Amino acid sequence: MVNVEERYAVFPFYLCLDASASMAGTPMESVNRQLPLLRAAVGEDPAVAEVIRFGVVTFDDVAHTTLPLSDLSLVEAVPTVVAAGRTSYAAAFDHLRQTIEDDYHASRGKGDRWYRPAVIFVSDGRPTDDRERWQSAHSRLTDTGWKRHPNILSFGFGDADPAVLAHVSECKPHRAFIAAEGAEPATVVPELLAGLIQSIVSSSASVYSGEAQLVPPEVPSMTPIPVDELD
Amino acid sequence: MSALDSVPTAVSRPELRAGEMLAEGGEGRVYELVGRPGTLYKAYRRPAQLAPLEALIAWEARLAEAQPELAARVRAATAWPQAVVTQPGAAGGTAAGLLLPRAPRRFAVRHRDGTSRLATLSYLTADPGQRAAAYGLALPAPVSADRIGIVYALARVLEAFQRAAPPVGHGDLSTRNILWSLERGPEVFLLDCDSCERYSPDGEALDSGHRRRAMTPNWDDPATPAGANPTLASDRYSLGLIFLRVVGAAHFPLQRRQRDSELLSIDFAIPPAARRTRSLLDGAVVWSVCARSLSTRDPARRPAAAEWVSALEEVLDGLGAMSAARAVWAAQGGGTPAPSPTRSAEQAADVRVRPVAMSGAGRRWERVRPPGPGLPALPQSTRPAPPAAAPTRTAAPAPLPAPPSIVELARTGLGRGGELWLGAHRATLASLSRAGRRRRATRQVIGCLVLDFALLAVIFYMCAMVAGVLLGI
Ligand SMILES: Nc1ncnc2c1ncn2[C@@H]1O[C@H](COP(=O)(O)OP(=O)(O)OP(=O)(O)O)[C@@H](O)[C@H]1O
Repeated sequence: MVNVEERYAVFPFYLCLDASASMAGTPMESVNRQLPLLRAAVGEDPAVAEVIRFGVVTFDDVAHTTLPLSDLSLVEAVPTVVAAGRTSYAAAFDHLRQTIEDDYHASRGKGDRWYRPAVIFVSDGRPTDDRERWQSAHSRLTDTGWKRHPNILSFGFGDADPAVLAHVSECKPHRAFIAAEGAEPATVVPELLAGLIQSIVSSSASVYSGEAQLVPPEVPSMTPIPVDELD
Repeated sequence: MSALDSVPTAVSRPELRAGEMLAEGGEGRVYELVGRPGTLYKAYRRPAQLAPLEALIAWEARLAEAQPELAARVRAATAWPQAVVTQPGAAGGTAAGLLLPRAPRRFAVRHRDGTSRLATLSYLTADPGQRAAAYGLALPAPVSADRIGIVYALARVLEAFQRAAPPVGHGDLSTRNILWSLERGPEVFLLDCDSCERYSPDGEALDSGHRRRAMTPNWDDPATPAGANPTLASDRYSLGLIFLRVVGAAHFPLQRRQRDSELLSIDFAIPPAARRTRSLLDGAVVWSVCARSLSTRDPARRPAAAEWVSALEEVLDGLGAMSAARAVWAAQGGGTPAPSPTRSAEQAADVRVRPVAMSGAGRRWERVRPPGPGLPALPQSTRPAPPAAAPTRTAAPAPLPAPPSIVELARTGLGRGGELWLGAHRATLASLSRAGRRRRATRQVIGCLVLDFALLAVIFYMCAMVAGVLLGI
């Protein structure tokens, strides 16, 4: 039975943004200039907005929900992000797991059905917490026993470590990307966010087909991190 | 005068002065033309085949001669290609682009932030409350004459497509390609008509069987296999889906279930105001036309747009809104009433659509039953008689039942008032508890205060009246 109350399932996107001190200056200014464009591009098109939910999580020593998961057509302004502190990947992953779980239940309560969430992880550095700590937080986030485990796309520039990013994206091909050596954040960040808009718009079209697909952003100045095949 | 007299059907690219780029689509870029405000230039990414485009331009010119009344609808309500643009020195038989009429300004909406955007159907295909909150637009209520009028306007354009010889199919009747306006009464304006296709009477594509014509994902025809082109019958499916989505103001995600061969039972919510409208009751023609349009069993038997025109006219008439139909005729170069809809003996085996009413408190769905004795009077038909050639309506006049009792009216009135009051206060509380919406919340608080004050005043006045009588003042 189909009735007026049945809606399309929504596709949740979380932008998980490194807001450590190294992002201060140009990269952060660029982020703060681009996020309102993303809000407008997605939110102002009802055909895209109605199937996308978008949230921003930032992390330094701790992680914060900067923009709670929202229907962007109902968001009037995206809060600005301030950079400070170190780069705790563990804080980011733990926070994401909790946020996704909470958001999922809140959405269900309102009658929304979900596609598997996507996390767009962006970092310009290496984790400052110890390896064991961030890796165990990561494995809790990606635990396949947890029904809501997200697909993670990761993007690095500056001092980001390709091997670490590949790990964040669970060593899946075409999920981790790194900027060319010496690429300026002032070019990389806008490209990345423009790519993210395109990715959200294309993914929203696939939602309507009933088989949502995460379409990775195209970022010309970034290349996929090769992932070796295991034997 | 036909389009051919005023505009040459082929223009050389160097003769054009392209202005600002308006939009970029999958197939090309759309530019303004310097000095020609009503015309746009669509430049293809890759040179297109010339012959099918010329055939479309000639199709409309011929229609203008053979059936001017149908051609007027096409001209008023579509961006039908006016001329091909060729590039000197390019390979023979190719077109660099097209000249198209620009959608008139009234086919736009203004968002709260002041920006103006094309009024695509997506503003109408979801809960108007959500769209109002998001963009600050006042949109018509579900199942209102405005919404039905918009679908009616579309049905009349498709009727022209289908009754022409040869018939044409649009093939991608999706949210982005259909614009609407209510400024002069309900109107539509179809874009992307250069991907229309001419068909032989038995449904064979005449021009571009080999050209890929994709449908938009949630607006596609589930009877066509993935990767296949839409057919002449696909527009008929689209019209049924657009009726559900625009008039019902909801999503109705059907296609995947239909591709999985599920049998569909669609419950269509009728708001209290329209619940007694005979032409919307369970068993009314419009529901069977809708179900047959959505059927995937035998696409060729889906009802033609002309059946929709009759059925929707009857619905408008039932709502006492023939003025909407007349506005559509005026906007589309004239019109007369369609023949009364006839009930087809056919039924869709795979789809059922029925009207339901949501009963207030319990949120329980009930069927909207045909009227029994004791229901209020139906509005008198204000529909002019169809022209002599058309069969006239033969149905016996409806018996005039007794009006509802005062008590019943007062009860429903109070109930609705209470719901509205509660709703307004809830919405205000919700806005207050949300950061970043302070201006809106303030406005709502003021609204609620005014409302409460007015209510108090009324209650006080009524108490005073009663007390006055009791005290003998
Ligand atoms: N007649 C018109 N009046 C106003 N705007 C128009 C008109 N035709 C096209 N546009 C604008 O240009 C955009 C692209 O047009 P159109 O759909 O014809 O191109 P396309 O390349 O075939 O697109 P797609 O195949 O992606 O739908 C439209 O979405 C609309 O914004």
